[in-house]
Amino acid sequence: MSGERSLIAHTNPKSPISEAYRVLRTNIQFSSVDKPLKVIVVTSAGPGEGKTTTMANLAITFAQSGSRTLLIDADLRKPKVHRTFYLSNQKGMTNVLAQHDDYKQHIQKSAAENLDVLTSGPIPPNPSELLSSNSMKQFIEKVRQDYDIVLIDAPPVGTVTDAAILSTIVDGTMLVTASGQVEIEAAQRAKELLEKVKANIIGVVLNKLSKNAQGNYYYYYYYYYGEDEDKAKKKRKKPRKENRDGR
Amino acid sequence: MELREYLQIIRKRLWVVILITLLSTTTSAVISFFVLKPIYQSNTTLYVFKKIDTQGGIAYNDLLVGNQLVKDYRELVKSRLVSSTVIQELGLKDMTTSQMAAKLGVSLKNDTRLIEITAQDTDPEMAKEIANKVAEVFKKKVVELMDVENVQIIDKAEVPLTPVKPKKELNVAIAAFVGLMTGLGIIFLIEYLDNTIKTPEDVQKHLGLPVIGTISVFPE
Repeated sequence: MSGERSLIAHTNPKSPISEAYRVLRTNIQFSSVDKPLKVIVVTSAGPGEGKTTTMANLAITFAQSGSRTLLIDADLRKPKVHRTFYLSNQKGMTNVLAQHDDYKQHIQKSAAENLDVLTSGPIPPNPSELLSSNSMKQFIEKVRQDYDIVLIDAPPVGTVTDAAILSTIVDGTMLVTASGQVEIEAAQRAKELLEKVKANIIGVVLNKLSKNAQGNYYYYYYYYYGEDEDKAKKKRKKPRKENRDGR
Repeated sequence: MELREYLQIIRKRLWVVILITLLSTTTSAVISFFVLKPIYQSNTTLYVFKKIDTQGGIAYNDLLVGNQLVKDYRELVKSRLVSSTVIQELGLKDMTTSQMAAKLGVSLKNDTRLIEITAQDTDPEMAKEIANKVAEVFKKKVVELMDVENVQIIDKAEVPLTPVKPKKELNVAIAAFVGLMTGLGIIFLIEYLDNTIKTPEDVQKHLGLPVIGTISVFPE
């Protein structure tokens, strides 16, 4: 999915799904108390699980809360971030890594306030080498200074080694898993691959949860708070009033 | 699994169930209404006088004896002797005795000593002809062969107006039910064979990782 509809946190911040992203943001903020998670890699077991969409919306949600947010497309094989945000991909991270450009000159502003985007740049012949290079580590250190939160889009961990490499130089790794799409074995393998490099796995974002899977608590929870008040009352009777904007 | 989970599974693939049910119902309806030839049934009622050795009224035993006797009569009606005579007398050249026997039925009527002979045929006229002819032949032969004094024909066969088979509504209802059950069976099989991660519980169970977010499918 790309384009307008996929950036739902920006286009429709009051929707239940945007609320779900805010809950995800809160969970990330509180998942580590002592050492705040600043640089996070987002990956998945296989392709097409909604990694980029999840990350883009999460980044927008972070930016909406006032954090200086940077989104980096480190999927140097099939970059998608520039398409999601309608940005040019002439220059990007590969220029920073290979030519030692200052990353700031390739930063692009997104439609959302506080959210900067660094696209992948031209696709290199050796993505894994670039990502494991020293310049990558230096680059990460630089952005760590300049931003409150940095989200990095990595290729699927099950297919190439890039995500595992990245997860060793960041604070945490998030696994996006599409409901009803990833086989249990594939997900377990993805987890093992990350554990092997001692990645700090923050947790799993269960994506594409179908409306039919309403039996679970989480879903109801988000649905309720995202609904209009009268509609929500019809769905579930819950007289308590809580802060509905979820911040 | 909980009941609610079952309902979820059904709701998720409800279209499969509906499709299979519709398919099987339609097939059954088409076959019942257009393919199967209607079969008509005509019947005659007979009373068989037989000496029974008990004295004074009809005892319960008599009914048992009656039940036993009706089996004898049935075999007689379906015998080659009766069948071939009927075929001959009706001039049905290309029918075998077993084909004829298959059309015939004999039963005791409502716990009385009346016996009923039925004949089925795709042609209502022919059903009537056969039933009457069988009754006639039976009447003659049963007196000749078995220990029977007399046989009275009470009701002669009439031309049936509506077919007894196929039972269209029943067929369609059965097909709908079978389709429904098959559909349900299939979706539960699919669900059983599906080893993907679906719910936050699956993540915790199979990966042992915390679920930090759940994002539902984007609305269309």
